[in-house]
Amino acid sequence: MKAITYLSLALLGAGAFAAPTYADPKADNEVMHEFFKKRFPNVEFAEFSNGVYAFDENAREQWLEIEDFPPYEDAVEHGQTLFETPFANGKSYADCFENGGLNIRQGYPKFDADSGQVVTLELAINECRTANGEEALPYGRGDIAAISAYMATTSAGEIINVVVPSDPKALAAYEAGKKLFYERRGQLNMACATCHVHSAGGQIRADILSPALGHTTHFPAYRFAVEDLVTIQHRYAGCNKQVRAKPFELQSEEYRNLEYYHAHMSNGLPVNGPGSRK
Amino acid sequence: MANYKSNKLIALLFTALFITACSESGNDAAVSADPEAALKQLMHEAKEAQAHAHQLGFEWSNTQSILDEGQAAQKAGDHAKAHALYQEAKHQSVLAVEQANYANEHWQLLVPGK
Ligand code: HEC
Repeated sequence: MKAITYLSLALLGAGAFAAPTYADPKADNEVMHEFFKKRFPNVEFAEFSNGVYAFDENAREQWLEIEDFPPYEDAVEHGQTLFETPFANGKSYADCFENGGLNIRQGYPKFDADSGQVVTLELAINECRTANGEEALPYGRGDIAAISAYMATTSAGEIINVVVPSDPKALAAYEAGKKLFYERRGQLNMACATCHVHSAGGQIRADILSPALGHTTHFPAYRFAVEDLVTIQHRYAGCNKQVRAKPFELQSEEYRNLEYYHAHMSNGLPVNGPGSRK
Repeated sequence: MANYKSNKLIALLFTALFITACSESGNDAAVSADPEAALKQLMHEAKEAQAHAHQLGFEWSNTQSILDEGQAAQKAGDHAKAHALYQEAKHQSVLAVEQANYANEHWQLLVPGK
């Protein structure tokens, strides 16, 4: 009994010592939000959900015109049809998710304590399919993006609330995603943060660089360059290739952890997916 | 500030690496009596370095195509070209591994507020 007490005291002590090395997601957000508020003093917080359109006047006007006849409308409708069509076994997506899959986007990605893994909405969609005897959909674009985009529309205006529980595995996943975001990689030796934090608002070739804050609110997004809805991880792969780094597999542990960190950063912003972008 | 400092550091690191990489390039295949075997050995080294960079999550996106070009050149009998391409692929991956090690130590330099 005594030994156990000593042991647990020792463990507690070790925990207390180890604590400062753990990630502090809440403190991270405070620093990051302050950073961007200072950099873009004229941008209202909720406007960060609109990426470059929050501060690039010309692009914003064009974008607002486009949004009058959204290019993703058909894809979202298609996503709704897919979402509502029962599987061969009679079950449907609604059976796999809380609240029948509606109005839940704001909580994704989630940490799943049982598997010790980060679960993105697209991964959950495919897990729902395979659990019901259907084949998994290819990631990145197409049907998976359409279903995910439809689900996002049912969360329109809801405030992003990605939770990192105080479970060492969740914190480790968050920290791994954070690390990936700040590591310089590829032949051009650049990190996500090089472009989307330290150069946000600056220009690279014909593009104005968007701030990382608000990135995940409007995904899946319709990309004119692809002429399709794409998932956020499709975009990660594109940005990795831009700096000549070999992308990770879509829905790999690396990208899921990155998405966890990246989405958590936007806690407090409204969901506005799908967006439309160049 | 930290950002600027790290830029300088990484520039230094990469310059140093390029110098080492370039000074190495003369040795291996050139002194070998059997050019065919030397080329095979170099390709093997390039692939090993690529696998190492990949395993660390730092492979560069054009390494594989350089290796493929090297193999095509070798098949076509252009050993000099194949040699140069394998060498390039190997050096890329050596740099990528260094980059991974550097990132592992210094990634926090780009975190705002640090
Ligand atoms: C060389 C600079 C560069 C790097 C490094 C880079 N990106 Fe990008 N990224 C861009 C450009 C340019 C665009 C298109 C313009 C924009 O929205 O910023 C873009 C767009 C995006 C978008 C879409 C923004 C929107 O509002 O729809 C996301 C998300 C994104 N990048 C994430 C990342 C992540 C995560 C990383 C690291 C894996 C990364 N980027 C690395 C240049 C970069």
